Amino acid sequence: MTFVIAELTPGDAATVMAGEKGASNPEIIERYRKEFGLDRPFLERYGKFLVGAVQLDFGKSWFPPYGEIKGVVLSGLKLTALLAALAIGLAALVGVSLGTIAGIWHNKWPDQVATTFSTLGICIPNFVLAPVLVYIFAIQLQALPETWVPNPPEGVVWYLILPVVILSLRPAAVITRLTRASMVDTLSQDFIRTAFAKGVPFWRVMLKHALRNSLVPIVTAIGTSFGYLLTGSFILETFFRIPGLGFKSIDAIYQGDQPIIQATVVLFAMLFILINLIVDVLLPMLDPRIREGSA
Amino acid sequence: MRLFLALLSVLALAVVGCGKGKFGSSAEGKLDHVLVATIASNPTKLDPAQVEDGDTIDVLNQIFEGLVEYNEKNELVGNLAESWSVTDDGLVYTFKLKKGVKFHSGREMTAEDVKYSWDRAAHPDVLSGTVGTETEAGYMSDIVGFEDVVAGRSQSISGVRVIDPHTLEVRIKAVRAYWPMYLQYPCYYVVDKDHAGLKPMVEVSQMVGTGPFRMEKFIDNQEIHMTRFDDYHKGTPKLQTIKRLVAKDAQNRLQLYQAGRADWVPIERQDKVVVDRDPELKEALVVVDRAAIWYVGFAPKVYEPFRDRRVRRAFAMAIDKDRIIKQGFDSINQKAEGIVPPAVPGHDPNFKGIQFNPEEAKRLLAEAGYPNGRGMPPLKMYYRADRHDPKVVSEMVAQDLRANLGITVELAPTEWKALLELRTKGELPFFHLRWGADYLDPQNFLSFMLHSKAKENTLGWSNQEFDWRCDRADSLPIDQQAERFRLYREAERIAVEDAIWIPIYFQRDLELVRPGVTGIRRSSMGPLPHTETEVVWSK
Repeated sequence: MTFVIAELTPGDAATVMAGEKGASNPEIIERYRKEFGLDRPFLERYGKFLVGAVQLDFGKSWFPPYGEIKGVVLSGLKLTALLAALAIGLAALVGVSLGTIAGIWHNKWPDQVATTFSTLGICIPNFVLAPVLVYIFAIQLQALPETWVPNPPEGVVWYLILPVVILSLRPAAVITRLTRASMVDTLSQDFIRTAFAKGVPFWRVMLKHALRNSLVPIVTAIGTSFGYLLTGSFILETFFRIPGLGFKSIDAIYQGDQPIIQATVVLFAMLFILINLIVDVLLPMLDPRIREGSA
Repeated sequence: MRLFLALLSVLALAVVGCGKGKFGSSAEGKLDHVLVATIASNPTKLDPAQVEDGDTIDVLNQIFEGLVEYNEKNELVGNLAESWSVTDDGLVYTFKLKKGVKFHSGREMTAEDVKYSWDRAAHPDVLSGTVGTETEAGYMSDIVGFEDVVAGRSQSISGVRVIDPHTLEVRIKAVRAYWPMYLQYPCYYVVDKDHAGLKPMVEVSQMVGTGPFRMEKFIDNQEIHMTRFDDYHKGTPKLQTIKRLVAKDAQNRLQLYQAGRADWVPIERQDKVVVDRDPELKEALVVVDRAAIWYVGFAPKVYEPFRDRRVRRAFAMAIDKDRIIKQGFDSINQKAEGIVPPAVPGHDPNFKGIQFNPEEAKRLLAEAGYPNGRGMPPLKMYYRADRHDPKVVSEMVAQDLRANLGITVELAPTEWKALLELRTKGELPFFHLRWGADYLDPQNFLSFMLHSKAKENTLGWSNQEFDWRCDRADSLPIDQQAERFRLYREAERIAVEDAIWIPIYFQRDLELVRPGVTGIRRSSMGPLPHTETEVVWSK
């Protein structure tokens, strides 16, 4: 798919590589096509791509510093993964706490606050929240950096605070909702009443009995959200100029650096599948019912 | 709810608290003799034979050098060549090379190296887009024997001969007064044959030249480090290190400057409001003239009504350039009457082109058979999508055409790659583009762009009156400069009066240069190598 789409996009990478002057000369474009194998028949190139992709070998970038694609992509992945991990951590923390509180005080004011938060969180898109928060925290208060800078002297995390907060809002909202619903559901069940009747302390019932039993949908949500964060930080990375995977792909698309585009898309797909797999493996560990059900 | 708000404000305070002092700290503790500047993109090439974009040339200029260069007065002067002479017939140039010039590798540069570098640039496997090809002219096409090399029939350009280790002789095909100017273009830069090889350079370690700095490292999308070359032939540079931070967007660059992390950054015009508010920034603001013109072009080949000169003139008269300069550019850029920018010798300061005249424009358009724009087929205006300025101009042009001629132009912001391709194929009916000088001569703006045989002229415009003047001026020897300029000025008038281009403005750029950075030298082509630049913070 990636290969075909890259193939169909207007503008030829050879035209870009040939530069403004070279591009007006078909002979030079032809030389570039030859050098990068673009003159070979479609199927041959596709085959080559497939063989390489299977071995995770995508060749070298077509543009300086002409690095090995694997390295380029992995260095981007590191940042994106850090960003996603921090965001999902924050989202899980906020989401599970708020959701639990909302579930416990179901229909009371803490619930209303949590519901308002989660509704807002789901409604406000990243690209709206980002400029607003940047305006407040970076421009007005001058407290946080506006955008990424290369080799940040204050440390990478410092520059990721705003993006992480913004990125975590939506998953936090989703997790809040799910936790709340799940808690409400669990709390109405008989075994909770039994636990209370046995004299188990309130917080112990809540955390050990109720929350633990509500975790299945939450973990699933965290897992899928993490997948989305890993693969969906294009907008924020571009906004904050964080040289992660999303940023690099956009950059490569602009340049027409086909090997990088292909490598990132393949990697995105693999990551997504991998995370779903991990979630599927994790669930039975949390909930014996799933384990037994599948046996 | 109150609790929630209280929590939020505590959180916010915490963030502010730990933030202050850490961020926004400026110049303290910065290193002397280290220049930190931004660069707007990753370098697009590492090889001087291939490079052509300004940003990358600016990097390579520190590392490689040519036989000649421009000085601060825009005069062509010797660099690796001490002097040169030309025979009476204007066809054979002899260059006396400077002695004792060393490559970064320590080896002495000789005429053999110059010949090798030029032969290499012409070699088909080096994939130079600038030297030319067998069929299309480029920077090297004028040299006798160039075709044989670029076509792979020979390894050596026969017109370039080494007379002795410090003398080089070049035979060109026809008299070209401006030919030595070609030699300041990067494809003529001298490279070290022990490191270059007959393929495009792809490693930093291959970038060995004679320039004041050597390439140290290049971290993708992050930064470039260059360190001084102590044995530089014009004396050891004052700077120890040049760092270029890759900062692709303007916001980012301004931020780097404000945070004290970069000391020399280009800024966008729309950021001038920020600068104007801040006395410290205002003091650092530098306005730089560029030898570049932004114009609106027509392609009679593509869009039938443009074959009628009256239609083109009507368009030209309907566009209010003063408004564009004032409203669109805060009066920073300079309104263009002609095509050749003021930064180029031969510019005609007295020329007035087609003036804004909506009434006459309407009349002409009606006369051509399109009263109030009726009967004109749909028209698209193309411009580069990812830049601010072209958008501003194109939108204002479209407004003027609608208001003054009743013509609705569909705006077509186009991705750069696709735009280039359309331009090459000559498929842009109506567009707004830029042309920047490759060398400072009117030829580069007139014959090069608009001669009916020029490869850049994909418009389908040909004008014999224009062509013969260019042909004549191109072939006059350098000692008849006045006559050359006279002919070019006539040609320029013809092109502007025939309205094949509507010159809009000559580009000026804004930069912030921190006080403490001194000795930056520039020509109209851009910054010169940092041989005199110095950075001292501790005083």
